[in-house]
Amino acid sequence: MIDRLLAWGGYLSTALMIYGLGALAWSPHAYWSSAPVYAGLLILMLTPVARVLIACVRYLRDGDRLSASLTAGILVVIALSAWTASR
Amino acid sequence: MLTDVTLPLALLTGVAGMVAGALGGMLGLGGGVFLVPFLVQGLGVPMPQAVAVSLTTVIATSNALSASSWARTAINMRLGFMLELLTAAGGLLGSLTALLVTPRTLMITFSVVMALMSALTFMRRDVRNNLPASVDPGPWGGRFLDERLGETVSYRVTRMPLAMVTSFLAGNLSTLLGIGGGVVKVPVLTAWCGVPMRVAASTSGFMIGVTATSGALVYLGRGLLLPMLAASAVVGVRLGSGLGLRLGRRLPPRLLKIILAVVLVLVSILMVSRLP
Repeated sequence: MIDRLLAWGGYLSTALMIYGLGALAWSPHAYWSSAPVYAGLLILMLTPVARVLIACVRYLRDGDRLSASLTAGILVVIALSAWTASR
Repeated sequence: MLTDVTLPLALLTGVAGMVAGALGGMLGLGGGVFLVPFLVQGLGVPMPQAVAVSLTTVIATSNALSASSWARTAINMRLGFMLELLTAAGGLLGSLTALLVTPRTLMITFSVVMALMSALTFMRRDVRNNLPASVDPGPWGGRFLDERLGETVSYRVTRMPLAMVTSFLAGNLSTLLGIGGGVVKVPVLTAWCGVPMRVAASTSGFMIGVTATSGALVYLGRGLLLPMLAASAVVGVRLGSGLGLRLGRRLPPRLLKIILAVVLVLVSILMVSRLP
């Protein structure tokens, strides 16, 4: 599942960015060129986070407490980064 | 600071991203180590914005690398998450201190780190760390199929505290310098911690995406990420990383280490030769 998530997250974000760059070449400063690029970048950044989240759930389900704690810790640090960015 | 991205700048960044992706895919690095000097020295992009763009490409390389079948079979998830926790914490600290450090200091730090890692990689180029499959890998080690030997091999992770401290420092440098941190972790893991090159590269490739995400979020929030420039670089990286992965699969570990050492020293010289 993690592999598929990574692959599809990569394809989707790249497709959106290619579309946005094409639109930029056609008409600079248009909203419809920047919006897909922003969406692509957001999906790109969320993919590793989703990967850690899925791994955390899987470890919890398997009863692997150490690995579950490690992945949960990583998610906390990422949340702290997002909080720092929003301030 | 750069505010507008022209089409030629976007295209050049895409080509640079392609080269960075190819080298990154081949050596298990994010590619930022190649992209940052090019953006700063070649295209005149201010260091903080180059770092922000580079961090997004590191995420792209990590996704491509981790999803590849070559890397998947060698990734040590448990070791990866253990070290990633420290790397992400170091990355968060780096993103806060980056705003207080001058570009000149960042560039000198970058050059020194690259030169040190180049020397380490070259000196330890013959270390393999492969053990017979019958050897117990211990709590952090593992086994994987070495395609070049055609057999399953085992490895044990030694000096775990060193690996942990290195990971924290790598995370810190990652956000300060716009690199994935693999350039620090891979040489240390292979040289001193008993991890084979392929496992270190795959596991590092798996980790760097998370490290870069925590840093990139902060740069995005501070308005330092130029979306169009980042998108050009990411598309280039996606195209180049496929080629790099195929090359990395075919070349022997010793040659990969020599290539890594040479590229690192060249990058170090390029960066320090044009200090502001």
